[in-house]
Amino acid sequence: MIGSTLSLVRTALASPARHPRTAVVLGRLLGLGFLICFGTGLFSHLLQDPLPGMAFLTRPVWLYRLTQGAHVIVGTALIPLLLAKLWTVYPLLFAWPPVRSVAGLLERAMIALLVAAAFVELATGLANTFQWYPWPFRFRETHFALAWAIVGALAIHIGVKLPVIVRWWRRSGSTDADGALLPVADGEGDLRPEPRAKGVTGAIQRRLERAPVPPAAVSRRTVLIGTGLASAAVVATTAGETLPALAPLNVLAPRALRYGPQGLPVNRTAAEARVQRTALDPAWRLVVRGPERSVALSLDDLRAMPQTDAGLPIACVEGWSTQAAWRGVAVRDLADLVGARDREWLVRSFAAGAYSSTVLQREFAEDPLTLIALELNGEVLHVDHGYPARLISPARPGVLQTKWLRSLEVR
Amino acid sequence: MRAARIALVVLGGLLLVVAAVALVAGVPARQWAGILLWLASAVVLHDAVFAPLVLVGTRILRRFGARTSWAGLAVVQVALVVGAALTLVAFPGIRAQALGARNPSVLVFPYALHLALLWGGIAVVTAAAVLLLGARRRRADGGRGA
Repeated sequence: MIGSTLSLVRTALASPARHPRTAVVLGRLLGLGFLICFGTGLFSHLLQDPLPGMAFLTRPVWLYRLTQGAHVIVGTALIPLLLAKLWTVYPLLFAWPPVRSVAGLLERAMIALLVAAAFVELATGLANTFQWYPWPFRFRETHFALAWAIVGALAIHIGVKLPVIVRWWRRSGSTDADGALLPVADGEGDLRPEPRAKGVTGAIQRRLERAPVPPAAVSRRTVLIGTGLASAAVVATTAGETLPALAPLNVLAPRALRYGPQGLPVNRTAAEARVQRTALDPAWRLVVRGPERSVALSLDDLRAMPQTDAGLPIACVEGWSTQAAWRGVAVRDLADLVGARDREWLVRSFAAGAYSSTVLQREFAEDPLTLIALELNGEVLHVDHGYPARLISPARPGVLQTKWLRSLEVR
Repeated sequence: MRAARIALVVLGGLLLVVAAVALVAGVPARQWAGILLWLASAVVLHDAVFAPLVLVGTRILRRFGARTSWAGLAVVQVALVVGAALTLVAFPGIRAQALGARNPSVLVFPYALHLALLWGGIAVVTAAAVLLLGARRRRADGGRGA
């Protein structure tokens, strides 16, 4: 009874585009996309929590802008792609018997994990860019753990399906002379036409099959073009928050390139951080603590030091980024003041919160473009951008570009 | 092939172990039930709500397609897919805006309005494409008749 009902469901779901070749074409793009997101995500994670002994590239200065921009852009493009891939293989959900062996059970469990983790990863990632957190768990740690689950389940899924993937990888082996997809023979994958049923089931099946079906080529092109255009559309309307070329099309992204004080978006304002009074206090000093001596510098002291200009982007983990012109004191020059070159620093902010103290690794501290910035785009730093002084360094996530500085201490 | 398959499954198993370690190390145990609920809900929402709706919609649309033109139907289906994808991506913006942005440089656009305009644009382009296809087909039919 269940078996014949499910057979009818599969008959109703039949479409010329539901074919292993479609699953392979969409699946390899999806797999590549998830690998790009995994790699760029892992890079971003390690920049924030380096493993012992790890060092990072400080050039090109837009490296993190590129990797994190790609992370969010590709992740957004994966939303239509994932739905299209699942549309293609949806009839397999109604296979009967549901499992034939222990290996089959594991395979289905792996697919369930892969699909669930992929959905939650893309949904929470997208919502995070809008700073909307409707879930009862930590975002960053969960996003990180699910990323490993996705690549793990994906590797197993590819391992299981490898013969089918190889069979339908090339177009030349997948279509006949007229360009129509070849029928799926035994052992070449699922998604084969339903076998003829008898009795009542057979009668309902014939009735379902009498419903009109578009020509195979039209059906397949509709799926591929629809998916491609949908991915292109979601990228075109959001990627302008980091790609200047697409900025005119940006109508759905959480941020706009130059929208914020001094032409730069802000993640946390001075009001949110409750630092306005401290930031504007003339008694403010930046304490630089070396291994043997310390100095406390006023804003005038800092302005009296040699000033360095740096064109560096602010690139946020949320995927937006904006290029800006910064001016201030090179961290290397401050390090010379206390005789602490080639060292790692603990950078403290007078704002409380998750990133109130960050580690400035040696390679960033030694980079001539790493500044204690006092000016932004030709003006005195806006209080929302970290007045009186903030850190800015090349190729690092925005959350590590500590604002409202209090001290730099040699580690 | 056999060696590659075994290697992939073993590699996948190892990566899943890392996932479990990352979860245990990073997320407090009292939040695991919430993660499980979200994972299960995602699958149920897709498999039991979204996909059946797409099936019903497709079967209704196909009847129109059979009576009018398959190419016209394909254009309408592509338009619906693009519009649906834009709606999904716009939804967090609309929702977050309703709850209030953290500061003026987050959520910078009127997302509901922009989504409505995008749907309007899609409708106009789709209608034009369908009319164009229809006119071309009538011309082709007329040519054969003459």
